Amino acid sequence: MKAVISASELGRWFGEVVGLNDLSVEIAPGITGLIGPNGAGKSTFMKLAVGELKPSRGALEVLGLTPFANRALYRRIGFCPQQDALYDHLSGRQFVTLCMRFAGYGRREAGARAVRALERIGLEEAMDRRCGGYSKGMRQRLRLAQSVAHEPELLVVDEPLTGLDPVARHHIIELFRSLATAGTSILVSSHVLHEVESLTETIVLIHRGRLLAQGTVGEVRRLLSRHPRQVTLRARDPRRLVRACLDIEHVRSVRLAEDGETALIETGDLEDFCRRLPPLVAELEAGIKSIESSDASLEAVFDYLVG
Amino acid sequence: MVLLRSTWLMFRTHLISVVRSKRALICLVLALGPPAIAYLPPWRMPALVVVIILGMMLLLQVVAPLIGLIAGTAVLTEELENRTITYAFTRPVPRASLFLGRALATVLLVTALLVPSAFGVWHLATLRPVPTHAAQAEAVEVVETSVEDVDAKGYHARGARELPPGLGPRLVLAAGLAGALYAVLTAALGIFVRRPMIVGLFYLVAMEGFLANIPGSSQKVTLQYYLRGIFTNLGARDSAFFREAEMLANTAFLSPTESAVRLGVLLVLALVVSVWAISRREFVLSA
Repeated sequence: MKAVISASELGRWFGEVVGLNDLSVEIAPGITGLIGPNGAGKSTFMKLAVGELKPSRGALEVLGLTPFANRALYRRIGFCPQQDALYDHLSGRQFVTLCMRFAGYGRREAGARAVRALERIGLEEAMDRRCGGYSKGMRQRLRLAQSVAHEPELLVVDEPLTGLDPVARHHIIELFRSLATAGTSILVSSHVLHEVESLTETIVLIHRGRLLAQGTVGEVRRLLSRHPRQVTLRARDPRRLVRACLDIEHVRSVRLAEDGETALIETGDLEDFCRRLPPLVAELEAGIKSIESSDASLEAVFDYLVG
Repeated sequence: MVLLRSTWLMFRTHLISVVRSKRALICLVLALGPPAIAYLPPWRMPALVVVIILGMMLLLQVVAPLIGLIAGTAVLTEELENRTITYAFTRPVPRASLFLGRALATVLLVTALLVPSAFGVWHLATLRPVPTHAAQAEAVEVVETSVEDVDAKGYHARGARELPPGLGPRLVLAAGLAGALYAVLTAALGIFVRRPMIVGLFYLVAMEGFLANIPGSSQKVTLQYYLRGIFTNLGARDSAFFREAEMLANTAFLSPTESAVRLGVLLVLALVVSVWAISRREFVLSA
């Protein structure tokens, strides 16, 4: 199957800041999740893919074309940017109609497509209100509407689920699924793995501008499970608890802080540890005050994977 | 054909949005300034002096550049700062049309404000009472006395001269050209620098405000020099005024045609360079 996006040794830097570095990746048709912590280079990659930026080095092809200022490509792709930017003086309908006029449609066709897209995205009731008065979720959906209204072959969506309530989130996920069923390829970025997990099995992980892993969610999860996680416990009497924790096979190290109340426990299986901790606490009457996993963020996991 | 259609679309869209913006309101207030000053205070100045101070100095040297600067920054910088440029740049419209359409809409707005303003100054100056022959005769006698003395006697000794024919249309032409040029140059600046308003203000103060008003050939690098050239060769009396102006400026002005042509060429050149640059340049939007 021919890749919809093909990058070879792609690099992009902004002065001394590296946005992408030596990224080689092939993205197949279908839904692909682009995962990485904040600042990983997801948005840079997407902006390169839609021709908003030029690569500093390497080669990039989208649907077989080089993207920068390529009007032939722009007819075939849709882009939903992350930035919360709209023409606030226009209504939702006017905004999408304008974008469709930019896409080359006549007034009537542009208007019809705008209405169809707004209905599909669930904004039909608010479409004649000025978008300056829209909520964050509505603005997000409006940005999405302009990106799908011309029925693109490839949809590039930057953090589409951020700021959406669960109902809207479900609605958008369903929309992506129906677009994919109809043959649209979708590249969707997120820094939250489970968000993308509900959409697709295929993910690309990037970190600090480099490709870290590519494959199915299961494969990547197996990779992530090897990452030891640190749990910080504050308890009335942590000594006995710490001693008991050492008997759990995946606990790799324990350490008591100077205050005598805080214990730092490193485990290779956080899920199992959390399952086994409550009975232990009850049995030892340790008097837990707080419990947190301070390095549970995706960034920490990426740091671990990078070494 | 695509370029024309897209330019027209951009032109219309920008015109509708900019006319309803606060920016346009500020420009309107600025443009109303010179005619309002010409109308409101009971000045006892000759009509020509009114046109020179309010038309050629205030309107052309201050108001037109400021309006051009304010309106010009809306062409591209506003889209970049609002980060809405993505919607146009990821669509199959020629990038050039974004600049052309928006710049032309801005030129229309600016000239629609400055041309009536210039006309207003000129027209209000022509409405000033012309002193009677007796007053003129007496004025000739008191010409060596101070202005205060003349004013105290109720004469308009220096206003006895009528405005030279052709001054009004030339003021209107100069105002329109000035607004268009300053707006397009500011818009063009927006392609190359992040803060064209700051760079433009610096240029207005350092170049147009300072260099244009010190004697010597350095004036020739300012737009004001060419705008002043539009007013030369108006007639015998006015020529005398401009000869004095040339002596003060220590440089010769160009003819009106040559001045207007050079300004027009600069305007077209700025548009061509901008269109070329915007088609090739990438814009990194802040996160």
